[in-house]
Amino acid sequence: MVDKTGLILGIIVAGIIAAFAAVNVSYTLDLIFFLAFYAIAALSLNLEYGYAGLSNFGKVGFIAVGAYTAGVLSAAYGVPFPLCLIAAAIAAAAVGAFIAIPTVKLREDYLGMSTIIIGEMIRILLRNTPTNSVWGGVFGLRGIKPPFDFITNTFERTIAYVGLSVVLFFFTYILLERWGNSPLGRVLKSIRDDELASKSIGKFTYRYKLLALTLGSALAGLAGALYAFYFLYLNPDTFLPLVTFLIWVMVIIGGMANNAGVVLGTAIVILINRLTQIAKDYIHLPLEPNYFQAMLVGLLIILFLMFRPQGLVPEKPVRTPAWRVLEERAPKEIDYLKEGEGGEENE
Amino acid sequence: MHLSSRAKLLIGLAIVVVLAAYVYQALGPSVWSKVTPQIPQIFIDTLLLGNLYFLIAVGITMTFTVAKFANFAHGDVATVGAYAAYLLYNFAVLSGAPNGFAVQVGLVGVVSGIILTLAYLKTKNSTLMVLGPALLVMGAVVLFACYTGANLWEATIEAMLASAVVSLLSHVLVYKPLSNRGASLVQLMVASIGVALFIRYALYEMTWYSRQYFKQEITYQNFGVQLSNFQAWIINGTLVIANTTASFASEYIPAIKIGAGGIAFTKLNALDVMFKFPQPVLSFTDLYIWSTLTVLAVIIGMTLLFKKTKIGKAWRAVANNPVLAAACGIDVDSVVNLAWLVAGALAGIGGLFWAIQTQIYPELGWMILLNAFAVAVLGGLGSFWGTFAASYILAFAEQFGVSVLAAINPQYTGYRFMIPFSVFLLVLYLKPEGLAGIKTRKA
Repeated sequence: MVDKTGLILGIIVAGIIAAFAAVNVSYTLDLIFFLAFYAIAALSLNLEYGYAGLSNFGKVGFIAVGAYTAGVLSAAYGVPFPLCLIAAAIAAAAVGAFIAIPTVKLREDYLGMSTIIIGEMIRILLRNTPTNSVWGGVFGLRGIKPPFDFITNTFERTIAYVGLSVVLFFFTYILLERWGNSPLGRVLKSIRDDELASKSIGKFTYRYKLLALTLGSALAGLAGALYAFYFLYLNPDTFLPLVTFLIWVMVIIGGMANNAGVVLGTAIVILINRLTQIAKDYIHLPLEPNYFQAMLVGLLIILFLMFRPQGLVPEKPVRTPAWRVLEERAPKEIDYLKEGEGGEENE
Repeated sequence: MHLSSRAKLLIGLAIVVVLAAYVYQALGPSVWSKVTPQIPQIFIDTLLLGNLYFLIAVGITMTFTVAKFANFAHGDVATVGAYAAYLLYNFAVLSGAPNGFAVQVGLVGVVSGIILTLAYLKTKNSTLMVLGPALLVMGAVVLFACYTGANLWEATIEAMLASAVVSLLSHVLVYKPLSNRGASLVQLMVASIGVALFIRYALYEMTWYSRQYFKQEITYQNFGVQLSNFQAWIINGTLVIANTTASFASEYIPAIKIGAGGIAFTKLNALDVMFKFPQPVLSFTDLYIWSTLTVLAVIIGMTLLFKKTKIGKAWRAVANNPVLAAACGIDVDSVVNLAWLVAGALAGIGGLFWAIQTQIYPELGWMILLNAFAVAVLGGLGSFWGTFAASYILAFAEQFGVSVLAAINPQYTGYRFMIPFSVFLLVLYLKPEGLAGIKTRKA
């Protein structure tokens, strides 16, 4: 039996976004930008956690590296926008590789603890940069050159930029979907499920984990650069660890190792966020909604891990040529295999 | 090129030494002449900071040995203890009368404690066995404090019990069911982050309530404990330690002289001390003494527990191999509960000391946690003595580094947090097994 939860929720989410668009276009544009930004970040985390089983708790640090690289290059040196995007991805990838080299050899705990420390370290470093330099310290980085400045109308420019973000999101999605179904994705999944077995068939698991973390960081850096050019202002205190955990909730709700599920999870988390912000003006609760939201994030993490660890949209079997042939010739056996996998997961 | 881990360590250490020599050379005598007189003070500050790190990090190590995952909620468990103590210490008695709200809280604690204890007598559940009495004592302490006035002892008991209960509940309600469902290590870590977020923002919510309805600000406040300030001088070969805070109350201040002739208690003229004495060599507060005594008590207690008692033996067996321990008839559940309880209690007392030393705010535990992780990793995750040594090494690195940074330019002290993190990164590159890895040999 095919699980339709994801499809139904996806339709609901699309409906809500369409309803927003009917009411207020510029608000919807902002919403769509945030969807694209968080979806890229969540997809990159999905590559690391969902596919390779690596626990990166410092995602926001890599986003910050990307954002500040792009911001400084643009504000201080006037580097054109596309080059800034590439530089941001490269810088974040370099930081990712720097952390991955010593830690991915060790147990998952070490990676988790190191990455969370690195994330905070990057924020504290950025906070303490001199306030009179281009970095701006606690006052934030200003003076990023707006992209598409040949478009004079601000509204049209925003549309163009949000459109570009969505295109980049689709590009990331297709890229990750291809990687996931390629031999690379299969090796990563095998490392996640049983690293020893993967080693025993001659895979250099260390190199693959390094690759996963580096590529994931590069994508996070790309997301950060998009963020920088959307707001044209950066402040170290927007890169709090809470952002990382928001991204983790997206992946856990959506379903690990399933890109479509992760995008759905992103949309759900962001819509919950936005809808509670709107509801705040109309309903008076004896609670501070911002803190309550964060409590909800914590609760959602625990409840999902406990009662639906596979997420809303469970992982799909890898589409290899052999699997496709099997699907054509022996659909019954395939159904049996799928049920067997599901049964294992529910145990 | 493939290097053995020993060669890598040696090369790395050589590079570190060369870099240190270069830094020493580059900074020049103008910086070092400012740092050298501070060295005794750096050492005594290291003692305090190391004590505080140890009290938090040892809990991470303890839960790591029995549950096998890094608990990200540990810092926030400490914050809960600090807040429990803070609220009890400052608000149990309001303008001479017992605080009505605190009395209600105490009554609820006593009643629920009695109910849970009775439930334990019926069911013999190992969780209720500790939870019931803990709640009972907590409630009783709150009631006692409301009617007799709160002191620091009651606050300490409250901090330890509150953190222990939260720690135990997080294990019983979240981590145990999860690991029974076969959750992976990463999932457990993520779940502990969920617990951390929940606790931290529940505390934020509490501070918001306090601001909104009680008109009382309870974030970024000093704890309110009056600490005595001790200062020490070396005069003519004798060490003189005086309690300078006493000069506010009387003309003469109590002092101890320690020298070749023995130890003598004297009284010094306060005006002399203020105007004639040189710059003190050392300056420390009560907290230095309390935290050192606490750490000593913890070390002696844990050593006795692990070496002499059956519980300690069972604990070690569970940490080593839970399945085999269960097969030998050890009640694994109780032992694991005990580990979470003890870890929580130590976190509570650590959080209380941190709050007294700095300020109290909901992010307190989170800020400590990252440093405590650095300590735990440097100590080799799961080694008691490794954690002990690592606490003081990192504390020394931080205090020394801060002095050097301040001597170069006082603005640079903002980079303080970078020092333990840099040491941590260095350890990851050179010796990822940590200090415990030095002793154990690979098979």
